[in-house]
Amino acid sequence: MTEAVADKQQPAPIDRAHGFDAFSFLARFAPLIFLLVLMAVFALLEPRFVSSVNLFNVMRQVSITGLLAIGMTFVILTAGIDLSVGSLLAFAGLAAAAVSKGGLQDRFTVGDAAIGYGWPLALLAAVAVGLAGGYLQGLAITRLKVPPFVVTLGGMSAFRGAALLFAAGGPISGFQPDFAWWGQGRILTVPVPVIIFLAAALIAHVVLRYTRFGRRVYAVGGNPEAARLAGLNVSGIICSVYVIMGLFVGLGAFVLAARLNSAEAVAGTGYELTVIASVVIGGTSLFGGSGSIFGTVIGTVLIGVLLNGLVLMNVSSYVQQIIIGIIIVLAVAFDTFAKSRRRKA
Amino acid sequence: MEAQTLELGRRIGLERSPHALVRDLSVAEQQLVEVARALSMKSRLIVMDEPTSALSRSEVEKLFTIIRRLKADGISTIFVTHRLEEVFEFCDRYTVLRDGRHVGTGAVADATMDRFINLMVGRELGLLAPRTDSSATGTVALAVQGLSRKRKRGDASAIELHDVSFEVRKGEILGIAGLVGAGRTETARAILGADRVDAGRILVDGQPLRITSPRDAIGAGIGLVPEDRKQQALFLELAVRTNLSIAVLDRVSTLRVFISGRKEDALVDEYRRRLNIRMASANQQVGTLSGGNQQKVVLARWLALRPKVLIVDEPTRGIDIGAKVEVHNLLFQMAASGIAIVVISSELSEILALSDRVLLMRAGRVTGELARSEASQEKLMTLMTLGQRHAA
Repeated sequence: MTEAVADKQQPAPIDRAHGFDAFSFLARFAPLIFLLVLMAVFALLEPRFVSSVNLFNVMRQVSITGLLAIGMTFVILTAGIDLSVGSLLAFAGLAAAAVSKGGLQDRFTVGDAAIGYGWPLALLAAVAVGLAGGYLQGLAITRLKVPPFVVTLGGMSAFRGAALLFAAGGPISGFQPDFAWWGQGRILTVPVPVIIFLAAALIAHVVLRYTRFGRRVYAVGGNPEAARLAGLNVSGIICSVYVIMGLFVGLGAFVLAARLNSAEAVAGTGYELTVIASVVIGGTSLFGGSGSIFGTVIGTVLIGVLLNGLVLMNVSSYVQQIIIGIIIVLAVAFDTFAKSRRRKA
Repeated sequence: MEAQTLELGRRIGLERSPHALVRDLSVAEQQLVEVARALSMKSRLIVMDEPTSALSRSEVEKLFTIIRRLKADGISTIFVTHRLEEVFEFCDRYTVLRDGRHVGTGAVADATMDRFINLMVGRELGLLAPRTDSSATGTVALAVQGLSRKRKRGDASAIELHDVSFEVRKGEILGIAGLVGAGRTETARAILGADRVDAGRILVDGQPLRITSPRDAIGAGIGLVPEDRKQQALFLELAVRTNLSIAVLDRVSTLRVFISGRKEDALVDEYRRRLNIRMASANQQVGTLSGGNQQKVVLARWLALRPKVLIVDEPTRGIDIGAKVEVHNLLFQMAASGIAIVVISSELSEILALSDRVLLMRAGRVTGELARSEASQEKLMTLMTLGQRHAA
């Protein structure tokens, strides 16, 4: 047999990824497109939805879980997970409240009767509890080599128990007005929590996109073994994302306590689901190494809009839970599909 | 079922208890299990994709014998390989693909090595040019002394090291030859601090190092291009720029915190030109590049670090022959610039083409050393398979 095909001199094809890839474009902006479509649908079905009062309301409602979702984005980018955020939030909120009230004796006193410390110390207390909780879990994950899912499942139980123990079952309410302002105030009609959420998102975006630390987070999430062989301190980076998560838990706890003018041990129950859903719906891969803060903000707002719209349309909260559940599974299915496509490319 | 398994095992020369766990078998034996599985399904055609890439020479021979036996039984085999010698050794017909296109089919008896290379690269190209002049100097850059490592429970690798010692001089290329399992990769990983060792000292420029992690080794000027670039070197879903700059972020940052896009672009551009990396942009996902270009990105990462010692483990595995020549020339250039280079390769022709000096390893020990002038494929093979005693 002889040569069947002529050896034509063809130009060596340059590697792919030239030109417009409709799928990758869609994959990148899918959450945003979904959000806009959802808003359009609600606007048509329910005119009250588009009022500025309602839209600010949505934003204010999502600002707490949004703060947590920013921290969670760091964690999930390293292919980790943190289930303890709701529990730690409650504990950190109680710490802030107790500091604000100067102890646990006057927990129900409102107004001038409360002799405590100012909001800066309360904020510091909440953040300190958050950081400590995150650091402990980070250590357990990197030193004891226990998977994040298990460590933070333990944390979820332990921090809730600590919060219940600390508060002895009852809420701590009634803070000084300048503390409450952080949750209830407005700057030029924009609620303060919304401003905090968006400012934090901007800073986190800059950190992930434009700093060496951010690069390393993506690298560790993308391929931990390659990161180690390239000289990165993988354990240090993994531990640090849980500390960052803790920082956002502390901040979120402070804002939540300020908004409710109260802190209680059962606060934040079930938040982990909403927070993880926000991150995943925003396109961050549970496999690590791919995702963005921009996506997380969109995912957070999307869940807020969805719940708000369903409430306005009198859909029962049970049905809402079913819908959220389905959307989470679909978002992850989409991520898995997109990943297999990327692998094949 | 047990009897059937035994019978199948006999047919392909796998003498193992049917109850043995596959993870306890050698890579060669694991491959035989796959062949046996194909046979158990009464396959008439078996496709083998690079079956020999992880096998030693004697294991390859064994596989060939099995394939010939299957052929006698009327079973066809499609054999995918990068090793052209293997095609001449025992294939009847060949098909050459290039960039996803069919470029030639014919009888092996009518073909020549040059013809294959011609078809594969689409242009005239000589065989791998051996190194003609050496850039080796008198100064020792890397000294490894008494590296030892016992197998412990829970170790991923079963391979032990026994008193491994050698030196590499500035500008020298030292080849390490050995069969799979001889401890070559384990030696490289131990030097980088990727695996723990029980004993041994590593000196760079005469200074003893305390290496507890790859970070320490890299800080001291040692680089490793690992065996499996996809699993151990690349962040496949991240951009070329991230893959290239990850180990030298301090070179592309401002205020020691932020990444400077301008400096990073300049870095990527410099190495894109120097290494002739073919890519659409610095933001292209590295996983979408061809194997050769991926390997160049890994090499660029280490070049950017300006190492004193660079260990390359199977530097041209799974890349086409054009890129292979480029990688070889690059290693020559790196040596000429004063870097001490250690090359690990299962292809003896590659070891011979690159090395100033060849170190032989067998069963976790250094068993011999040859200057380039004394080394030949036959001599290396004898030392690798039989050890020092039989070599003379």
